[in-house]
Amino acid sequence: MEIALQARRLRKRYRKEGAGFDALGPVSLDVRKGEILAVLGPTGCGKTTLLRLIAGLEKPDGGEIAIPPSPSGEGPSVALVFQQGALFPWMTTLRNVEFPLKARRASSGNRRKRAMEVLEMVGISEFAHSYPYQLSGGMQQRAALARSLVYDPGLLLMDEPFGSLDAKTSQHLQEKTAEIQRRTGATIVFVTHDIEEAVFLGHRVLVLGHRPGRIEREEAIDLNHPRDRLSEGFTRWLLSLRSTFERLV
Amino acid sequence: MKPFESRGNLGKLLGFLLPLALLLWWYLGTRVGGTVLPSPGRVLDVLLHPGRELLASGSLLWGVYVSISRIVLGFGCAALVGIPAGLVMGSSILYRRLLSLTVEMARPLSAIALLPLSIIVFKGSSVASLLGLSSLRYTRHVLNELGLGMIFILFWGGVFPIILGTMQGVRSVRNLHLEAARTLGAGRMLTFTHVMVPSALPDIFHGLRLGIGRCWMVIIAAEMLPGTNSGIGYLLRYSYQLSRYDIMLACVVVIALIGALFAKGLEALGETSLVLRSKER
Repeated sequence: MEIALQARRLRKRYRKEGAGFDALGPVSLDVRKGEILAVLGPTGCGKTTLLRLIAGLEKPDGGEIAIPPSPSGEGPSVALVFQQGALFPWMTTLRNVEFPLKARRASSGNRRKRAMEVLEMVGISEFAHSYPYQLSGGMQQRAALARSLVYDPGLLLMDEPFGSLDAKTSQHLQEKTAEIQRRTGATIVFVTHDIEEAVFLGHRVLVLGHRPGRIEREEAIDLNHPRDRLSEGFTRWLLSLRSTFERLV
Repeated sequence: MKPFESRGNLGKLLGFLLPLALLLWWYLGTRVGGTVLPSPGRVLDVLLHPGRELLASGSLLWGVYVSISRIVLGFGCAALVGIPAGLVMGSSILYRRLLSLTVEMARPLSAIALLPLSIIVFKGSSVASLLGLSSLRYTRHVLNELGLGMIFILFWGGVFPIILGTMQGVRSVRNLHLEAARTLGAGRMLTFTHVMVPSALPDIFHGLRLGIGRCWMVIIAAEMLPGTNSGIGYLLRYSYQLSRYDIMLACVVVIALIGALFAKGLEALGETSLVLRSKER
């Protein structure tokens, strides 16, 4: 089984006015190519910290992260979908999605073509020329997802991307994410505090406990995609993970 | 009951009530007599004939033309220097440390206070003499009137609000947007041009608006000082000395209108960028 990311004994400590506290770790984990790894944990368990370390936005205080280079010979490419509001408000949806391609010096014709393709995939191509403030919260997160998918990252990190949306929209976008993952074979690390979201999306689920963040439980969810939220198997997983989760909170 | 707010268009006219009352008061005052002020009609007469030669020192239009030319040059220089300086100071700690002490010390020094110094330094040179156009010396040509000392104090008056506004704009770029740019693979240059600058744009325009307001105040004050013989400020002072209060008041009206026009113009330009940033969720 190919490995998309390997983290060994990752640790992160924050310092606040002299006093330090351990936010994470030590945590070791592998992400397999083509899987959705759901990282489930209560607020403050360091799951966002974990993603920020992987994305290279922060330096770990210990341990290491290895991301094998992609077969195309380019360096490792990681994308991060933020919780919300990370679209550039001064650019249209299309220009937002084209931005990473611009950073990679793609020609403007290719940029437009590829960006439209991805907007089509997430289902908001008709809003290509709208500005973020003209979009609903759900649409904005689709656009943010498109902006991350557009350069075909080897690893897609999602930090509670649907956490601020209403339940209905959130469910719909979970389905969309699962569908896109099946179509593209993308490798995704999906961080959430919502048990149902984790069970719906994750091929595997890691449960993190807090202070400091550490892995409490690791499960492979043996249900076929697309998953039925009302099935017996789904409910069983929900209950089983809830019992672990309750103990943590 | 909200009588004025409910009658939409009528409510908007409410702001004109006080100026109109003032105008009426002025008019009635001049009708009764016993005031040195000319009637509104005589002031209006001056305003309606802006091309007429006044006091053997050019027309109202000429005065406005000279003053605005000075502003365009002085404020233009201020923007040309202020925006890049603000961008550099906002994005680099090194440059901020290098320059901010100088800026903070220089900023409170009023531009008018520098006028005598700048006259000594630049002597009588104007853009015309700088360009070697000595043949214009004794003609009425705008290049003659663009004294370098005057341009310098306009620059001084305008540059600091522009630097500070731009710097403020760059420094208030949201960290989330910088991190997004970074994870999306943007280098320093692309992040600067596509994230920092557009994000700072509303503050840059705010600085420009403050700057041009300052420039307009500085130019009028400077033109009223001895040593000048052109511009709307000069006309204002000269008409006062000759007790031509109709011309003097016409100048005041023109100065107010142009000042408002400058501010509104820049506001309209900055509107789009402001709208985008304020609607961000």
